[in-house]
Amino acid sequence: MVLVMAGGAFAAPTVDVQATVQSMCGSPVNGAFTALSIDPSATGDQAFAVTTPATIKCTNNRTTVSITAASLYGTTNGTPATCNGTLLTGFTMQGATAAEQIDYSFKCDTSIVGAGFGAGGAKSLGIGASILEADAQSADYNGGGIYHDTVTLTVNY
Amino acid sequence: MMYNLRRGLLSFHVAGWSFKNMRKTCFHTFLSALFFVTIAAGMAERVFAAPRPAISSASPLPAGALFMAYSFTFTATSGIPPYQAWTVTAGALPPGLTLNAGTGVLSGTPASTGMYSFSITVDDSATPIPKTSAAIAFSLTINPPSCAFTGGSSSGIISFSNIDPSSTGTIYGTVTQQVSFTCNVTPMAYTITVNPASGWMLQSGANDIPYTPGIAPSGAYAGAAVNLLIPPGVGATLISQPDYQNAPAGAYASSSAINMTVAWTLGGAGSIVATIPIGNVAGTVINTCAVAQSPGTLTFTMDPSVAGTTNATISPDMLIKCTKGDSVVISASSKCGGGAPRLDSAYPACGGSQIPYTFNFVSSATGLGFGTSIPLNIGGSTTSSNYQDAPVGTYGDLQTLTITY
Repeated sequence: MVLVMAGGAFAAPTVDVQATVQSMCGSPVNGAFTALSIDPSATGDQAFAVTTPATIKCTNNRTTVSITAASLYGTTNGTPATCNGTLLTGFTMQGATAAEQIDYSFKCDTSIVGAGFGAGGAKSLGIGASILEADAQSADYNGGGIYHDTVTLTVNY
Repeated sequence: MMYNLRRGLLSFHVAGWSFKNMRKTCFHTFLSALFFVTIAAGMAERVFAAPRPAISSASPLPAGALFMAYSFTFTATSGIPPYQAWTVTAGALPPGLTLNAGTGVLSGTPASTGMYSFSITVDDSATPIPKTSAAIAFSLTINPPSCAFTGGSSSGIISFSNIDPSSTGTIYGTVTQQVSFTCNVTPMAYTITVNPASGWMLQSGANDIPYTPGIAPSGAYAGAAVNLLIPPGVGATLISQPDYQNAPAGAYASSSAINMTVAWTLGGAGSIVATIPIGNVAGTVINTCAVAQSPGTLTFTMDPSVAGTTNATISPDMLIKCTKGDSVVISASSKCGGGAPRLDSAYPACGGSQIPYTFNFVSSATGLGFGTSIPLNIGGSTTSSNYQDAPVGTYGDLQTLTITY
């Protein structure tokens, strides 16, 4: 701030007006996959289709430090896997009982660059999931039950 | 002239004298004698026409003062110098003075006052008999010790041209008309008293500023003129900060006279009185403003993930002080936005990403004098819509305040 004394003595104390736009991430949107019918006889990996991409908003131009993923029933529970854009192991779906489990692989992007919190600011975390051929072949049949898992993504910024 | 041929006798008149029936022989003798007498008379005339000395000094003599050393040298002309035997032939010299017969110097220390008359003569150095001048009458006045104002002025003027209420400390008045006095005796002790010892400058009879006149102290006259009014500096006429800092703007003038009495007792008590008349201590209080407290940094912290309004904080606030009663208008301009303030990521340049904000402050006020501050209540605010997509980082701006008073 500059002070001008009109018509008399002049004094000029200055004061900066300062602002800090904080580095923040938020406004997460949960992702979802279409339920997959596993065919143990099929060859090759069987991928889940993404019905809702997981997104998050971060301060414009802010690059996140890392993204990790933790499976509720898998070995990554407690020891989250660091996303790197490729399929990661250690994820497990569970059926009606704890004995009914099918391992699968999960992927998410290494990091994102924030686009702000406005309408166009949501950034996809690049989630994907697949059941590897070997896991599908060894999956138990438990009366056609439903298996599910919850993956928690943590965005560090 | 008649000549009797029959008797050979002459009758004639010379210079009013009648000469009758003079024989020719006697007539010739008479002419010879007349010639001799005429020649002798011419010589005598030259002898008796040699001038007497004359005193050339004029009366009255320069006045003297009681107890003050006095000296005057009489002078003479004509006759045959050197002159001698200066003598008082009538009257009396002032007590304490003597006339040096050899030099004609009248000197000494007068011991009493009054006007004295006397006559003096002087002899020259003619030989064998010196000639004496005519007696000349003189008068000499011996004055009592006294002091008088120089230039005949006993009226002083003190001016406080521009009283700036934002000043700190004492303000001294300028002597625009001095009052000085001299005395006819040195050394001569004098006392100076001031009455009253302080006065008031009033503005339209409502507001007042007390002042203290700065008058020279008592002392001893030493030959140089003594100034009664002390010039700006220690001891000068002054006004104190607490008395002027809250004074409204305008003209002020003293409401009463200040008398300054110079008194002495040598040779008898005497005194003279000088005055600073009503209105002769005057000044003008000016309108002005000053920063009493510089403001801190106006700081925004913006969380783009939170919708709503963000208010800036500042500590401390900016404080100003202005002449009491002065109408003050404050305006502001943003370096990066002019009248529409902008925070800029390139600050101190203004070419980066910008965030609009509102700069708040008190836009008008009335001066409270320099004993009381006026807070400007500086603040700022912005809404999340202005920064939710702003790049992470720091932003800045510079506000320029113009205070018109």
